[in-house]
Amino acid sequence: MSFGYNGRILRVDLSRGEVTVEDVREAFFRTYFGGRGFIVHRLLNDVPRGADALSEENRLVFATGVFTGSGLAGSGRNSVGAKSPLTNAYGEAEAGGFWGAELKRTGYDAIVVEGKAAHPVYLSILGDEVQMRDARHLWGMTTGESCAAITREIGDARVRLAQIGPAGENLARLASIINDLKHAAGRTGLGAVMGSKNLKAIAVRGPKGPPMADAKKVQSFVKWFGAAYIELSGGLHDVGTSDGVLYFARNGGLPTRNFREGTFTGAENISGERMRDTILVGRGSCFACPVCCKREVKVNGRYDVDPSYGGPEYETLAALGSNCGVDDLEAVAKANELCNAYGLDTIGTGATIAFAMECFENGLITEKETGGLRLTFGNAKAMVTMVEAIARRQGIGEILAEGTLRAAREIGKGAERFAMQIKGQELPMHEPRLKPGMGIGYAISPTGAEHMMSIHDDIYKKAGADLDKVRTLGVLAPIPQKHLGPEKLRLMVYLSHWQSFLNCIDMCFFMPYGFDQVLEMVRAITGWNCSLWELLKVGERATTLTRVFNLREGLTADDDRLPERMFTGQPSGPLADGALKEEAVKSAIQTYFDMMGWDTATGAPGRGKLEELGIGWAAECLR
Amino acid sequence: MPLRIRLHGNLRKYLGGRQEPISLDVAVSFPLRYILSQLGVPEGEVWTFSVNGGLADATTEVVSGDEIDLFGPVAGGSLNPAQ
Repeated sequence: MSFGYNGRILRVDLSRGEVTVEDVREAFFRTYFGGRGFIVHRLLNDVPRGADALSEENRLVFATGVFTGSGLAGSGRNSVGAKSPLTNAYGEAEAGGFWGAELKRTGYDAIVVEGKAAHPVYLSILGDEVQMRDARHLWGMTTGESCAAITREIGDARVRLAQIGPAGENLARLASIINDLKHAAGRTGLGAVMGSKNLKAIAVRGPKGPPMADAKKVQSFVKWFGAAYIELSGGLHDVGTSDGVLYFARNGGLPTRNFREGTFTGAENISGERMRDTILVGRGSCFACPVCCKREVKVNGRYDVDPSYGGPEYETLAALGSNCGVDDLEAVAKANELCNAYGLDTIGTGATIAFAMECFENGLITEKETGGLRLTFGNAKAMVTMVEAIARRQGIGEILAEGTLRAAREIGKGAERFAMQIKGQELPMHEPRLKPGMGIGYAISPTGAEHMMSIHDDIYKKAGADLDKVRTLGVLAPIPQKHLGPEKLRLMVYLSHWQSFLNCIDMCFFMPYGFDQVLEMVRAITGWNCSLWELLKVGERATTLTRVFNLREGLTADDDRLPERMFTGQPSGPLADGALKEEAVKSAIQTYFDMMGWDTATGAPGRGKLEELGIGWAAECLR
Repeated sequence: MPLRIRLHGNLRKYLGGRQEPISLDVAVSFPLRYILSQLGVPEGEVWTFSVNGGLADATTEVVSGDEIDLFGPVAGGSLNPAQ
């Protein structure tokens, strides 16, 4: 008997209109655990080398992990993956909410979608009853509209949806997949992959999740966290992730006007506190989580914002706010709503609009291209207008929907210097000049610039709870914030293994659980006699396979680099002297490769490393 | 005008559940370190000191009317494994 997983994968061939079920052995599950591990294994084995990300050859994988649906706080997540149309590399994103837990209750651990439907369809998975249903009448609808229509058609208000909006239908490479209306698998353009397959949505509803080996122990963790979460979760309940706005603004690390600056005079106006005291009407939750870090905002007046679409988090406030020079909270809230309604990544969209604003201010694009719009930093109305233009590929939105790298090539005239991207994906809102280790993480992340595969340098700079936690891994002394030596890289390697593992079990990153607590939870869920060493190896295995995937697709170590802007100081403020040094960054990346058992020049995992991780089969992919 | 003090991140636990800023009436200038002791906030738990929007430290003198922000470690949108 299996505990914590169903042992079944649903395979959906949209071209043939066929659905099959694949059984999964326990050894496979204990090797990959679900989520990222599962996705990268499937992509390496199923997607032909060099496949076009928007072709029928690509696979779109929705995966849960052993943690998903366990009832523990942070167990509502799922991963989505495919070859990315934004980066032509490994693509993956995680989403919170309720969809992942509900998928697990249908009796499947994952869905692998292949081919392309002859016309728009949606999948209805109600326990064992799987149907491909006509979605032609839903094509063009916002996520809110299609959610209402699908719920009505299925006749069950408790059904959960993973869906795309018009952006995914229009193959915008910045398109996301939205769980229900407000939980986004935002990054790497996976919404476009779903759109390319003519798949509008996947509706799930199931009777019961898999059993757990020691349900009483799991329940004891649930009770403990229910009583302790307010103190353990810091400000997450009160102001959500937007706590970061003022902290980064004070330290020069709030991306402002396309990363040209790091302090923003309008930061107070878009802060979490301001949101709480003005437009916040609710604190949304994910499955089984009492923290409620999600925001729900309502605006009536200059803009109308529907709280059903949630509210902006830190990344969104910075990307569509300060990075566009916009300090109008209601406008940012509207742009966030539109991103969720149209299915756009708020980070990529904000960063792309900021790129366009810098191009406009430098005369690389003019009012002729923008349709008369003065696309200047701080123009809140223009920012909101551009979100819709990108989703619908209208006007200059046609090229901006491609993301900054492709748009820059189209615009020409040296526009690439304004594209804050790595491997084609736009930088998240953590300033590498404030957090150099985070910058290294951006550079080497398999998905392009990505903040969920790296470290926050500042929290390990002195003794405290964060350092206490990593002492259990043998990192004993504080590491200076700007340091990029082996001590920092060692910490980064350990933590990136852990983060990768969390994406394999699909546990929320915000949970304040200790390493040993997670280990105990996994043991209680699965009944496996795991060790922390084994869990870290699961994470390392998955990370290494993503590297293999990218090398197979033709990426090289030259793709692991930061935008030129990071090697210059900001014009003023705390990071005026904060320019990163190219040689130090290059050396840090090589040290990371070396510590990972990868070739220091090419970043290719060695045969010995692959065998040590039990994935010697992947060596074939590097030939 | 009183001093206005805001605590962010983990430091919120020293607010005792209140959301609004703390106001302190002061007649003379004090180093920030003294304010921390009055609030019961351990200096080692403060990652960033800010006065009137600029960076400061525990020795910075504050006077009536100053706006003070004290931050614990803040990750903001990503992993903070031991918040």
